[in-house]
Amino acid sequence: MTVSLRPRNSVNPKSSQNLPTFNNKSNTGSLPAFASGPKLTGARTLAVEKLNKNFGSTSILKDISFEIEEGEFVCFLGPSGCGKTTLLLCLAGLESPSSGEIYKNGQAITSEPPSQRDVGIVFQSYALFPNLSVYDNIAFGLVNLKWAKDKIREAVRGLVSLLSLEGHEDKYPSQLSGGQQQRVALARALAVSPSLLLLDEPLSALDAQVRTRLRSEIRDLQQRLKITTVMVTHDQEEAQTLADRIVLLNEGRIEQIGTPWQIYNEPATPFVADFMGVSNLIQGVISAPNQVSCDQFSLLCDTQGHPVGTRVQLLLRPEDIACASPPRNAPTNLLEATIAKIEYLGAVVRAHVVSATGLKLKVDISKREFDPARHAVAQRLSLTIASNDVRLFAQ
Amino acid sequence: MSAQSLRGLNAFLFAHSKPQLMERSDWLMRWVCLAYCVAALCTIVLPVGALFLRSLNNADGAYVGLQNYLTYFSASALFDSFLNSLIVSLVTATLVVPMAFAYAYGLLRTCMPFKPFFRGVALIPLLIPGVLKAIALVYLFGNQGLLREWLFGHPLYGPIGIVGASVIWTFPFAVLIMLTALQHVDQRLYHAAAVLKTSVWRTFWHVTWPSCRYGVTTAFLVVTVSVFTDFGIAKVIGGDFRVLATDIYKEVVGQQNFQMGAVISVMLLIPAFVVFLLERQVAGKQMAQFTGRSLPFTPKPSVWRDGVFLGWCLTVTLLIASVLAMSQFASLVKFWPYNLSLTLDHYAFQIEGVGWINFGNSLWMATLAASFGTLIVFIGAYVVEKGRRDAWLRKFLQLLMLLPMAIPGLVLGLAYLIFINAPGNPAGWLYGGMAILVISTVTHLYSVPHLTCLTALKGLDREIESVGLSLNTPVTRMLTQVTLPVCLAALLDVWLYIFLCAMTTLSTVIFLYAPDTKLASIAVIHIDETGRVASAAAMAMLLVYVCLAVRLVHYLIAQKVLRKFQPWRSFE
Repeated sequence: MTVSLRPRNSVNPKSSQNLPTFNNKSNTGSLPAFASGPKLTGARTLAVEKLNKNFGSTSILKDISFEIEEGEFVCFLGPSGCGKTTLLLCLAGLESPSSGEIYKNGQAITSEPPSQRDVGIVFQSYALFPNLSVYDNIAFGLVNLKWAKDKIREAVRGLVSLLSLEGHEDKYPSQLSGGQQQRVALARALAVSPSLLLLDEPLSALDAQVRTRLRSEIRDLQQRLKITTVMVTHDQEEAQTLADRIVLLNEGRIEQIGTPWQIYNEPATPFVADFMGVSNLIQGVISAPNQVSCDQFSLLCDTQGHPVGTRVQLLLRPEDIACASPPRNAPTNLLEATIAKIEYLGAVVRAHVVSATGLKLKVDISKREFDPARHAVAQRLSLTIASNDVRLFAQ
Repeated sequence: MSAQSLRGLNAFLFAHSKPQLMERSDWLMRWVCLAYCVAALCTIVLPVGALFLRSLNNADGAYVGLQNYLTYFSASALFDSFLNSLIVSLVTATLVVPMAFAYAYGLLRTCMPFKPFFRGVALIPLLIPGVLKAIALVYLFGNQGLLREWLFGHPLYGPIGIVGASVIWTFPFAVLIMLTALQHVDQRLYHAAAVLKTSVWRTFWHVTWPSCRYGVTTAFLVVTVSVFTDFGIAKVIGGDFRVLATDIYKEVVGQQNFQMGAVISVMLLIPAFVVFLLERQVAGKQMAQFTGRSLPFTPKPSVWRDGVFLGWCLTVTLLIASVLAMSQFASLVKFWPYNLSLTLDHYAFQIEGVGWINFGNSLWMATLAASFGTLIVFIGAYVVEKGRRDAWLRKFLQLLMLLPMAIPGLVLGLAYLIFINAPGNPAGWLYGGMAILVISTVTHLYSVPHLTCLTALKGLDREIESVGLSLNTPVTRMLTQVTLPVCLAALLDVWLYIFLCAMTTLSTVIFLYAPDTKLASIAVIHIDETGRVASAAAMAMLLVYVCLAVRLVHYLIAQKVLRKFQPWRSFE
């Protein structure tokens, strides 16, 4: 075959590591290998510059700028109403931005209509042609390109086997399950070998199990075809497992761009910290260099040179609070607390604790450390928090 | 228009919007949209404007301000007609709405048998011209009617006859609206009420009534305005009882007093327009009540309740059947009530100016109106719904397309008459031809088919168009491969609607026909005027048979043929 299986570009293993450019003030030492992003050629295939979008007086997108490399999988992540779908539609040419430019391989394409953009698009609602069979749906774009019949047949056969749709070619969309319909939509988008694949919450309408399976299939497919892909999602887990890089949006602005590892471990703002996973956010004031006082209780942490008296917010991940032996190689905070509530989440047990000073924290206890006798409501715990696990946001 | 002036017009209209991302299809849609606006201007706005102007002129065409209106209000006989119209329509609505509510309730909320049959029966009056219902009533309750004692000596001719015939005529509209209203209720609300031990009455007032009160209001408004503006029934069975619609006819046809006809038309138009606005608002509220996730209602059997509603539906069926049977009988009886032997003589129409040619005209006109109308309505709805650019232009067009709903047929007909005969109108040659009948009928009926097409197009996800664009699909291919096949069933419905309405239309065309384009529905009125009621019934029965036959063919096509050629439908 086949159009769609041909690699878009070869991976160059010697290309320079693409070091994170955002929030590189980490004090965790050298980054793990997977944290540094994909090994890519470095060719910028798509660039967005100062994009704004207004509907009447409400502004949906504010000064959006970023770049996407060839072969990269980028997720637009954010709560509903943050503008991520509008941004995707701007890339597709289905929405026109109020100002700003979109470049593809260095050429401005901002005013090019969708049909000239060479994109494949997949929607949450599948948007399959209800009156056409699976075969005709997949072949639809190829017929537009006036391909010969046997060439189309060959290409469709390749896509059908690629997306494990064998035996369904003659069925109509309403005869298929949601997962199968979304595969057909993917096959239809991939058939014309677009240079950019846009996915608008493609998994949100599916049930949990199908979603997880199709998620890993999409990732495998993208890796095999090396097709530059942008996906919109509101599910942080989905973004973390799929994306090479995440563009995190909130109220029309970019909060942070980075690899899933960076976004989780080095959040740029309290919003990012809160949005990604579970967090304890504590208000405080810097009382001395590398010391923050929060409500009759003070915490050692890296204050990043901010002057004494600065109001700050501290992020403590529940899994970074230990209730056993203190970690060795960093200054450590000790805290006495009482368990108020226990939640069994499977792999971990989450304890909601209250310190003697009234500070409320969520603490994760791994299944292996969990001791039902010691970790019960009203029991006292000694908590240790390594100073380098505390993340500080100056306000 | 030259290319340059087109470009100039484009620059003038769309100067504020950046010419970004315009596909070729977007350009096409923009120009189609503009063409529709111009067409709507010529077929609705300008004629009604001409009617208004005429109401401000005297017989010689000189401007006299509100003089005609003052004359109207000071002539008590003329103003009485206004009150008469109002009373008759309110009484009809008050009778029909509870009747229809009970009927629809029986169909949807009980376990009575033969529901599909009763559903079909309720719609039969749609196939019978209003005039024929009036004639049937004459045979049943008139001076020589079968059941004249039932009126205790009150005369049928006048308000009683008008209300009676109007009730039968408007019953299907009311039932259709009530069916929609009663369909959209969440069974879970009833479950919640039952769990909380709510009494039957409390459940009715707090669950059933709130979910359908907008439907009841809409039905009331629709019936009121239909009767208020109807012409045919009042003409045949009104006797000396004056209503606005017959007044207009008398002023225009009898006395050639166009300016007074225009004044009365305005008196008819204003209430109709107010009701239209009210109804739109209510319809919006009704829509807001629905949620996609409601659980549909499934009734449980209850012997006494099912029995009561079965009895009611049988009564209505009997009423409709007797009207239909009486009409058929009337057209076949040699000389009612003295010689009851049967004959086909009345179908020979040996009356001057009337004949089978009128029936042919009706058939031809309805076919033209339905075929062109469906095409025009669909393209218009497509542009309004699927356009991606020029949102304000499409909103404006949508407004224009709903406007015909607010204009009574008789008013539109008179407006056309005045507009087309205005000196210097380049379209004057249309007068007296078949084209003007087709145009006025399609315009008059435009709104309902437009809404039907919109609904069908909305059923097709907007994102499907986006996919089409991203796959670089020409607009024609998208239309023929996807949109048209999916909307085909709705288009057949639209064709049928326009055809049936055009076959029985009377008020729109009564001022616009010429001797050789006279339609059967007009012929019925003319025969009735000569007193040969049996022949009038015969002509009207011809219309009923065509309507029945077309309805049947439509059913076969929609149910059998469509399924065969569009196999995907059976998996929906």
